[in-house]
Amino acid sequence: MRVVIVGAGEVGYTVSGQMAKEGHDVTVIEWDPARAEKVENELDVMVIRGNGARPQVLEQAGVTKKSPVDLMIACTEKDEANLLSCWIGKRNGVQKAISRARNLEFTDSESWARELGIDIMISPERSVAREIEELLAVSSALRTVEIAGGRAGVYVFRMAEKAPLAGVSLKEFRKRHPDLVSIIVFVERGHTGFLPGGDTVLLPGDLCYAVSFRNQVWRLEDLFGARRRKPLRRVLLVGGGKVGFQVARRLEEHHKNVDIRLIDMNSEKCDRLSRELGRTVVLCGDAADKDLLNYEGVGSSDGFVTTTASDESNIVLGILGKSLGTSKSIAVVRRKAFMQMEKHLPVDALVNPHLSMASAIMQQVRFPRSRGQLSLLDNIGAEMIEGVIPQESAALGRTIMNLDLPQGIILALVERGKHIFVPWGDTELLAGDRVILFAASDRMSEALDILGV
Amino acid sequence: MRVRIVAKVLALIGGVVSFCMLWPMGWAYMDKTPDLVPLGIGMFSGFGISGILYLWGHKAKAPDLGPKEAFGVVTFSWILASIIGGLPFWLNGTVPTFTDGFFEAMSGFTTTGASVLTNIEANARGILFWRSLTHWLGGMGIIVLSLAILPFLGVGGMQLYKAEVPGPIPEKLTPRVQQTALFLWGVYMLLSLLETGALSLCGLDLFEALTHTFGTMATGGFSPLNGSVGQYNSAAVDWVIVVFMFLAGANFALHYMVLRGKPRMLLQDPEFRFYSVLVLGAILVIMAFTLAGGVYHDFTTALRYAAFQVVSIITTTGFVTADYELWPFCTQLILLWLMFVGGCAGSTGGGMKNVRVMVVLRQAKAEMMRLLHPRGVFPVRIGGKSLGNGIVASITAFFVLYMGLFILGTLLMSGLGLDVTTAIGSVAATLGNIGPGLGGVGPVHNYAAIPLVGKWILSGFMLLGRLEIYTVLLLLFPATWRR
Repeated sequence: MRVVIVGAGEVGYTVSGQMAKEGHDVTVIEWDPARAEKVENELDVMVIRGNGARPQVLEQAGVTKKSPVDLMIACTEKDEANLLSCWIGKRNGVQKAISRARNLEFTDSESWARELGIDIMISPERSVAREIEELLAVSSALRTVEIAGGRAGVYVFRMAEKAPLAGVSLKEFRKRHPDLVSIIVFVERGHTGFLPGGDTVLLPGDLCYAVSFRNQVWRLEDLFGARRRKPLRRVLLVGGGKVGFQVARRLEEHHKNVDIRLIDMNSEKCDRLSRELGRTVVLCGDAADKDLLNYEGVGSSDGFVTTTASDESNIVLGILGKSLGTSKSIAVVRRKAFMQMEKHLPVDALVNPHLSMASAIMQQVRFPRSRGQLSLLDNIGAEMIEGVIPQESAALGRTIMNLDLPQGIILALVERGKHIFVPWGDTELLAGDRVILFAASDRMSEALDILGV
Repeated sequence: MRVRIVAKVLALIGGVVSFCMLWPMGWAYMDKTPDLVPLGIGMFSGFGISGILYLWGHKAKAPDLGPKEAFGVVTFSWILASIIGGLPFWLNGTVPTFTDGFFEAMSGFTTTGASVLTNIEANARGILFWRSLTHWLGGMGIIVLSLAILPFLGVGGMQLYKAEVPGPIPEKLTPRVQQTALFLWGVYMLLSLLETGALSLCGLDLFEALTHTFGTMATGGFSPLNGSVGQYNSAAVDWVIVVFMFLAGANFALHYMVLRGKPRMLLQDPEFRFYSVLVLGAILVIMAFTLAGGVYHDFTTALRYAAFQVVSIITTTGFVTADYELWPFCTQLILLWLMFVGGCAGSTGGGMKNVRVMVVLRQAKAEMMRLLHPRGVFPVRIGGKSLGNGIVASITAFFVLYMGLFILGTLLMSGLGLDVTTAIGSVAATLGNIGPGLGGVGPVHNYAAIPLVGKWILSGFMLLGRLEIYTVLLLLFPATWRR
């Protein structure tokens, strides 16, 4: 596959590396000499130096009508440049164009992407803000990934010592709670992770990935022995960038009684934020100022979210917040190396805005026919994908039991019309069903073949 | 300030005002009454004065008005209009002195409605029509009228527009200021037509329907009857006037939006909502007090009189159907406060305007939040949109100036020998462009008894109130006069 990637920032670099590793022909356009050189030295890709929003530069990178490029990904820091490169690309035969949109207006409504002729427009800031909101609302969840357009999600819980589910097999779990639409799709125990079967017994200390509905998650929290959930009352946000702003806006919209306080050091930014946000109290000050944090009630807060531009500050401030008594400290971290430190940090959750961007891009490369979102649950070696069963699928008319899905593949949810349910062995798949599939990384293509997705 | 340019533009506006006297002359001609002569003399002296100003100023280069000239033009054109407009009253013998004529005309143009006439009905229809017409011209503004009909004022017209249109941030409806002026007058005329029609249906003849419409839509308050609207003693007339007074007290830009098919704009507008809630609240409280105080004995009567008085006062119209001085004292105080609030920005009403009161209240809230969160940043918001610090400061200063002028005025008037209630009432009623005040200038009295100097002072306050202080006060600064 011929791929052109515009911009070699954090996202561009990661995606280019992954693509090259999988054997695609990757051309990277980068304007900054230092970044270009880094890519050239470290990755097996071609590098074009120049502005990726200019036709000549794109032509040089091989974007021409004569030999169409299969995929173009614009992921520079500037929306205008991304939109323009994709627009030029589409008019020069690019099959699929993916644009990063940092400004949230562009992803507020889907029509913008359509009208601009861009296939997919992704805002990493928006998805990470959504994730943070979920993590705040479901206070005991360690991570969450959105599925079925936000109606359901994957929630990660750690099994407590005396939890009702501890020592219970999954079969037993489903028998005891037939009305609970939930399925456990992955279990991390010690240093290993696996996709559980019906006989798997859950143990205290297990990290369980459960698929569930937003309005039923509280029952799962109980079953995993999480502390009694109290309604969200106060949230402190540090950093008024795009992520911080979006989290504040979402909380204002969805959680009517939450007291939201946002701290930023830059007074001009504070002025702008206070004008654009509603009831959020914008504070101009240093988030490392202990007195300020104490005065603004960090000790009695239900969430402390650090969203500044620096990963290191976010981690350190997150730890500070935790030590000052917040119930849940969440840090935004962009670098992979830091994400893997999660276990060693006294922060409750790390979230990565680049993950959703990378997942969506990788889905287009690996499973170009599947629709919907793919989520890489990054460091666990399993993948989740949403796909629609087509008319000509070989799986039609057969029960799931008869599909002979190999070990390591779980059909987690089926969305049929307005109805979403966990499939049983005797469930028959119909054309048009949207399925959410969970599989070990090496089994995903096999599973997609069986379902014909 | 380049005085000649000011003179040239003034001449044009003076011409427009004088020309408008043709309409009352029509009534006088039809009635064959002797007031035709003074009106005619008034019109021709108006043309004469304008002619002299034009001769003096016409050599000035094209009228590119700067902010200084704009303030000069607006203030002086209102004074000029009142001089020209007051002449017929004096010449006709309606009022004994030129001062009274000037006072009456200023009261008309500024839509105050404070009168020195004791027996109104003794006058011929021509002169009474002119008296009401001054309201209608001044309501939407003589500058806005001139902008609408004199296209060459377009250059620098925005300066004039800003200096005359009430409210802290005058909005343009269209890119061109002349078009905006035309639309505003269009909406104004449409509402006036509707009211005239409605009043005619209630049984008023064309003359009375028109004069009352002028008084209502301009939120003026002159009535050709001695007993004001109360003389009809008709619930239908009362309610028609209440509705149109209420509309005239709202922002005409909003009415324009409603006519353009966006009625939701009206309900979403924060100032309109504040205004509606304030009116409803005041009506309910006053109803409760008057019913409890035994002034009225049934619900509908109390509602009718409370609604009329409240709307008439808050919109700064000044029609009366009941002598509120006979009501419990606290209801009079509520009315006095409403005099300060006034109408909405961009309406024909006077007072401080609802939006300014809102901003000052929000500013107070923001200050309290700042005490609670010393590091917090709290913008002052109206309808979700935050106002710049400059606007908030200017509004706070306006508030202080308004109160300062009120206190100064009360001092001056009591210095002239008026009792406290009359002094307070007369200044509040003229600065807010309401008309009837309290005590000696209350709803059943008039301003005839005020000393000569007092009438000049109060005329000044009417002008200050109509042009929202800054425009007029600026002329007292020497820097304004320097080139």
